Parts: sequence; structure tokens; C-alpha cells
Amino acid sequence: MTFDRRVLYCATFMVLLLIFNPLTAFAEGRFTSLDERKVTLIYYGSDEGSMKNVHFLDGTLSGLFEHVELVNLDDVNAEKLRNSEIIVFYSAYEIDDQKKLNLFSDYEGFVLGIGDGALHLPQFSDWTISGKQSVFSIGEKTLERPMEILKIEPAEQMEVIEWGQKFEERFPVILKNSAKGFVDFNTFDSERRFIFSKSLFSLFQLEEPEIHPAYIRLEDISPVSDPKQVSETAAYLLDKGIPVYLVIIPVYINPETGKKVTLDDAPDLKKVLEQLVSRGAYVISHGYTHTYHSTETGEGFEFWDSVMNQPITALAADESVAKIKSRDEFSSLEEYGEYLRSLQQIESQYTKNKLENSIHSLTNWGLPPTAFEAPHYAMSSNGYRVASQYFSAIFGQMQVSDTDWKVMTAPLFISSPAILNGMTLYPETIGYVNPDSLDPIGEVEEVLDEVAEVPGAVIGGIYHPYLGMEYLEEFVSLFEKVPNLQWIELDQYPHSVQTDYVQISMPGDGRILVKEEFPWQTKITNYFKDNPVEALLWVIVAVTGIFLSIFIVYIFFLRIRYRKQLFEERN
Amino acid sequence: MANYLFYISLAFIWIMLLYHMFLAQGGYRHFKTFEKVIPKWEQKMNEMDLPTVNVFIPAHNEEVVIKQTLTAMSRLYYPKDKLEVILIADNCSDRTKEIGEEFAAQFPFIRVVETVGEYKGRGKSSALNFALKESKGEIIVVYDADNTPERKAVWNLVMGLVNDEGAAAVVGKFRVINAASTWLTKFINIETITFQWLAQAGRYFWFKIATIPGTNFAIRRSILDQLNGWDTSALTEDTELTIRIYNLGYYIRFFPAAVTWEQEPETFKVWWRQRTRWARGNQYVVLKFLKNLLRLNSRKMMFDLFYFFFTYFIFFFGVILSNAIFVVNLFHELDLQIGSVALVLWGMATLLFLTEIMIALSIEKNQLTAGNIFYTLLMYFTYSQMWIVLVINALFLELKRIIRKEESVWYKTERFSVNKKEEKTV
Repeated sequence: MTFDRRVLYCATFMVLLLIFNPLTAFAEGRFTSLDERKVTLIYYGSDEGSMKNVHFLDGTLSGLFEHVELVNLDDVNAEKLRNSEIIVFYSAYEIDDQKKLNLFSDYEGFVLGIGDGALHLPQFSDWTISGKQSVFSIGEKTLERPMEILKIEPAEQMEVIEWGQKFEERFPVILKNSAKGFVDFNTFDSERRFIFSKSLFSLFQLEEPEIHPAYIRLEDISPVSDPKQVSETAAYLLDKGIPVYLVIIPVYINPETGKKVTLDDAPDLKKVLEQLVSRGAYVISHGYTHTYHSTETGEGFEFWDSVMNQPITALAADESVAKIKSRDEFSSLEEYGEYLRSLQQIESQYTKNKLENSIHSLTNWGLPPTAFEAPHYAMSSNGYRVASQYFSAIFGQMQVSDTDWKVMTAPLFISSPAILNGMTLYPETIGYVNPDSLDPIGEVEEVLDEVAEVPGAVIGGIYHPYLGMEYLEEFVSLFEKVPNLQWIELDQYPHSVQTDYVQISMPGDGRILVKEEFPWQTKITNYFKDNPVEALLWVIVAVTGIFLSIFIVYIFFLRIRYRKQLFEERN
Repeated sequence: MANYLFYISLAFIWIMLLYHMFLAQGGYRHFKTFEKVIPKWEQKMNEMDLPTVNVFIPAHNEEVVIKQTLTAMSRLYYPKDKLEVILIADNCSDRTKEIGEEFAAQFPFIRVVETVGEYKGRGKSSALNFALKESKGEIIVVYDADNTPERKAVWNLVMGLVNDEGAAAVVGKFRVINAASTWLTKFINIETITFQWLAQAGRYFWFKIATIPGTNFAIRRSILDQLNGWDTSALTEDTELTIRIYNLGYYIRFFPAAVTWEQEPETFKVWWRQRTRWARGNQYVVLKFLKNLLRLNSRKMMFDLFYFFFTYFIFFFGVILSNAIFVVNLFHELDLQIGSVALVLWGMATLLFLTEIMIALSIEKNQLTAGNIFYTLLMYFTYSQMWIVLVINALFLELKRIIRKEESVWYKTERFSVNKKEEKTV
């Protein structure tokens, strides 16, 4: 078995070498070279709404700048400011901490204020606000619903990057000069995400990237997937030279019977996946079972308790998982803290088990994962911290709340937001083909067009192989019409996946190196777990072997005895 | 589907093989230990008042072999005042009875009786029951008419009984006298040696179970009285008797020191008939007792019957299934998931077959020869495979009999004249 797998890896490696000859691969490895200036993102207000925006900002900035530090206003000090070349200040609220605000008086670098609260900074003290105003569109973009902005009258000469429009009137929404800039909205939902992301290139005088990195993920491949559909859809992409990302759930748990189905039970699918990997398809670990609560179907969440809408609180969920207690149920803050820590420990252990199982089983099956994607993108910040110990690349979006999985965001650039603790996010930006929608392709196209307007934005989409070939051609053609689109080849980026026993490293030159070093006990238990019948048969072979050797010794002794007898009889 | 069937067949086959492996170990241990008690036993025999013994030789037209058999009887080592050899002439139309009477005239401890009335011509069990009625010995020893026991055979059998209170019967070892005659007797020779050292000695060592082989065994009259003699409806009266003995709370000792030599079928046709009778008989017994398996008093017998059941039903089913899968796989890709381990298992099975037989052969003098090893290998592909067909055929016949509610017919095994054979070779 191990031998076979090694041969497969060698073959995979050889094929990869042939396909991605370093000479033809991009010289730099990265799509956009990151700006070297040091950025500090300072925020005020830690409520869920604010944090969602802060994490979006953090993610977006980290996709453009090499060094981005995320700091709460409470933690800001003079030295932090001194060390920053750019400050991005976010606040949707009025700030009354004058002492903190005064710290900014001596700051000489570039300041970008976002949200009403930012206007409290000394940099904006001489600006006049003459009431509020609703706008219907920003630049060329008509807004989904009218947006209320502040009517700003800057004291100095400012360049307006985006105008907000109301009938014939227009008002500056994003404006800047050499020392500062201001964004007159504080959420990044719908269009504002694109408007803001696009404006950053002017705000910070960044060079606009010429290309759009892109990927298509083949989502939710599990042992019960139809091998033919997986093979067809993936082969279609590969034949067109489009990299394939196989998002695999290694174990399927039947919600009715609770029975586990692994890839070993689906030899046809396993063969298909092996072939695809040998053709260069990337494997993304989609957790281990895609479930937490046993009652959930394969559509379930694995790293988030979707029934209680709270983080994971038990190693194995049954019906009796309780709601996490609130602060007022504890007499002291220490007790409450202790309680939360113990829950977090359970969550960490749970996440570790699941991720290790996923990495180990996929690797054992000859499908070494190159990145991670949480089912439904749902995971707490602690979960991300644990995941970052195993993976350096993550796909999808990020959950930015520890109390509600629906609080989800994603920057448009390949980025490394602080919440992901070092993992690089390959954002999903255009959604998936939803066959239940009135216009499955048109819906995606609408978003894609908006994304494509932002320079350097990732065009990341999802296709479910169970849809078969029905929508795939159209879906792909949406990508193909984007000029300067460049498919992401993950092995052109330095990434790694590791556990104590498995090391999958991608130096960034097209190689995927797999090193497995399970202790022999684990190897044996794994083998038993994966192939119980075969393992039992090997045990029989071993027992029989022992008896055979004993029997041969017996025959030998009987022979000697017989010789002796003959000898005695002769005498 | 094919995968599951394959696993099932593997399981059936290997349960059997592992059990036999275990028996082979027991057989070897029994060989190493069974003689240890002899000096002490001999001493007791010499000191005690020996029991009276009847040797029964049921015979139906045995003129070819009976002279040789009776010659061997006449030379038995046992006090002649305690020994009575009874030749039971059952419905003979040849010179069997006359030859017997010649011996009786010469040796006072040899007697000839002729079955009469309801006992006449009803087969071996009936003949034995008749003799039981006609005699008084405390211990009954039975020999088939083609047997030539070694001089101390009866002595050793009786020695086993008087020294072992728990044993209702003592079974000796039989060897093939015409092993060199044909390819078939060569196979049978290997088979019988292995059967005795593996199945008999092995089962005796681990579970104190041995089966009465129909010849060369001694049994207490008291037990036969309790059991009302032999069952006349059974094709294999010995297996039947075995079960009833265990059910009574006794066991049967396998004591290979008592040796007899017997003739084996030299032609395929005779072999086929004889073995079909055995197979059918055992199938009959298994099915008969299996129906009320749980009502058996003896746990051991339940286990042993299950072993028989496995031998004649499950194991063969497994082998046939495995063969069928193999054949189907030749023409149609079954996509069996099992890897190289299957091939290794096959190799192991072959090696087990070989070594187990070789152990048994090397216990017997002069049997572990290059020729026998060659025949053992050949056996694996021929003789053993013949058994498959035979067992299926037997099962078929037995089912037919049950459906038609026929009575079983006892086929007497045809004998081969030793003299004729010698004439040929001269």
C-alpha cells in the first residue's frame, strides 16, 4: 500500500514537473506585489457590526500591504503611531476619549479616516459637516438603496475619488490629498465593498494590478458523490487548462443510520480522484465529516454548532449540547473566564481531531490536501487559530463573529487577515451556481462583473459537481470573458499543510512534496481502521506463519528422531 | 456483491483451516505424550485380573480377505481363556463361513456365528447387534473383515479401557496395508495417516474427542447395553455411536499404540462408493443431531457436530463459492477489492496443507519420502478436489433420499485379493 502510494506521489510529482515547468510559471509567484509601507488599522467600537467591517478592512489592506497591524484604539500609544507610515482609522461612533485622540496630533504620516467617528481625529478637526444627505449612486454605480452620507466641507484642497449623486447634485464620498483621505461610509456591504476596494489604489497611490487571479472550486465532494460527475466536471476544466480545486469531505455520515462511508467504500470515486490529482488537481480539505450534530445531514456544519449558533462545546455532539452560559450566570468574572477557557479547550481539541483526521485520511488515500475550507465557512476565531497550525492556505470567506456564524465577510484580494492567524485567504467572491435560482448563471454574472471592476480582485467561484455538466460551460465562459484573467495555481505559492506526522509542502515552484512519518503503531491502527478486513487477513497470515514455522521445526525434530531410530535399529 | 461473497468464502475456508492448524498442533502434542502412561498401564495389566474380551468381525462375503484376517486374530497377544474372536457371517454366499470354521477348528478361542432372522442381511450394525446377543465378554473389540491387527492391538485397546475409567471406548490407529498398490491407495494412505494424527489425535488432545472409525476399537459391554447396541438405520454406525457415547457422559480415547492394518479401495469406482456412503452417513448424522443440537447433553459433541457440519456443508460451500468466483473472474472483471493478501493467504493455505500432512507422515516410520511429498502436492489439486464433487454428490443423494423417504442402503466395500495382487507383481 505505502509502496503504491509512493509510486503515485512520484508519478504525481513527475506530472506536475512536466506541466508546470518553472520557466513557464510566473516569475514572481505572486499576482500583486505588496506595498512595503507599514499600515496600522485602528478601530473604535467592538460590536459585531463594527468588527465585521474592521475584519473586512484588515483583510483588504493585508491584500495590498505587506505589513498591516490591527489595533484597538484603547491599545494605541505614541510609539505605535510613530512606527506607522499609514494609519487607517475606522469608527462608526463618536469618540469621547480626548486623550487618545490627542495622540494623533503629532502624527505626520498618511491618515485614512473611515466612518463618522474618524472625523474626531485632529487631522479632520477643521472640517465642517453641514448635515446629512442621501445619495442614490456612487460614481457610475447605482446603489441598491439610498445611502445616507455626511455633507463634508473640507478645509483644504481635496481630490474627490468618488462622488455620491442625488439627482443633479453630487457630494464627495471618498476624497483625499497627500496627507489624508476620508471615506464617508462605514459599512462594506454590497456595492460599497467594490467601491471601497477600487478606491484604495488611488487613496494610497498603488499601482493597479493588470490581472485578475481566479479559481473554480468543485465543492462538496464526498464518498457518496457520483464519480462520473466528478470526473466529467473536473476533466472538462483540466482539458481547458483550468486548475481544478477538489473540495473533499473524506467521510460521509448517513444522517439516518449514522453509518460512516469513507472513500474506501467508494473505490470508483477514489480512483477518479487519484487520477485527477495525478493530472494536477488540488485537494482542499473540507473538514472531516461535514457534521457536528448527528441529526444534521451532509449539509451540516462541522466547526460551528449551527443548532445553538455558538462555537463547538463538546467533543462529540449529541442532542444534549447546552447553550453557552452568559456572564450573569457567574458570580465572578474569573469564574466566567475559566468557564469560557474550558469551552475553548474543548473546541480546540475537537478542531484538532477533525483536522488531523481529515489531513491524515486524505493523505493516506493519496489525496494530500493543499488547503483548508471550513464547511459553510463557519468557524470561530479560536477555530481559525487551531486551523492555522495545520494549514497555511484557506479558501472561502471568513466568519468574523464568535456569536453568529452569519457574520461573514471576505476581502476581494488574496490576503492574510489577522483573524486567520497567518493563513492566506483565497477569497470566494462570486458565489456558486444555484440551480434553484431563476437565472443561475445570470446571478453569478452580475456579481462577477462587479468584482472584475476592482483591479486585482480575485474571481473565486464554486461549482457543485452534482450539477453535472449542465451549467459548467456557461459558468466557465463567464470567467473566460474577463480580460487578463489568470488562473491561480496554488503550487506557485509557498504553502504547507502539516501535522505531527504529515508534511505537505509547496515551495512555490510547482512541486507538492508529501512526507508521511506515522509511528508504526499509528500506521497499524490506521491500516486496521481503513481496511479492517484486509488487516484481519494479514493477522491470519501472521498467525499461520507462526504455526507454519513451528510445524517445520516439528518435522525437523521428527526427522532427527527417525534417523536416530534407524541408526539404533541397525546396531 | 462479489466482494462480500468472496469474504464469506474466505471466512468459511479459513475458519476451517485455522481449526485444523490448531488440531495439527494438538496431534503433534498427543504423539509426544500418549506413550508416557504405557509403563504404568502395563504394570496394572500384569497385576490385575484381566477382563474377558470378545472380538467381533462382521463379514459378508469376505472370502478374499478373511483368511489373512483370522490368521492375524489367531496370533493376538491376550490370555486365550479371556479372549473370544467371533466371526459374524452375515448372509454369506461364498466360502467365508467355511474358512472361519477351519480356523475355529484349529483355535478354540475363534468362533463362527451366522446371523439369523431379523438380524440377517441387514448390514454391519445388525450383525454386530446379533453378536452382542450371542456373547458375554466384558469388552467388545470390533475389526472389519479386511483388517490385520498387530499382535498387541487388542491388548493395547483393553489396556486403555481398564486404565481409564472415563473412557467408554478406546480407538486405535489403522494403517493402509496396500498403500503401494495404486495412485489411489497412495493418496488414501496419506489421507488416513493425516486424518488420525490431525483430526483424531488433535481433537483428543484438546477436547478428549475421538470418533469411532468402525474398526480397531474396544468398547465396554455395559455401555453398549445402556445404548441398546448399534443403530441399524445409520449408514455410518460408528459416528452415530460416537455421539451417543458422549451424550452418555463418557469419552472415547484415541490410543495409537493399538495398530491395525487394513485394505483400502484400489479403484476409483470402489472408492467413490465407499466415500459417498461415508459422506452421506455423516451428513445424515449431522442433520439428525443438528435438529436437536441444543438438546444434546454433551457440549463437546455439540461443538464436534458443528465441526462436522462445517466440514460437510459450510466449508464446501466456501470452497465452491471461492472456485466459482475464481472462474467467473476469468471471464468477467469482478473488481475484487482484496489486494495481495489474498494471494499470500492462498500460499499459506497450500503450505499449511503440506506441512500438516508432512508432520503426520514424519510421525510414521518410512512415510516422509520424496514420493509421498510429491503425492501430497498432487493430492492438493486432484484427490482433494475429487472430494468436493463427492460431497456435493452425496448431499444431492441424501436430499433425494429424504425427499423420497427412501431407506438407506448399505454398500459393502469391495475387497481386493492380496494374493491376486501378488501374483500380478511376481
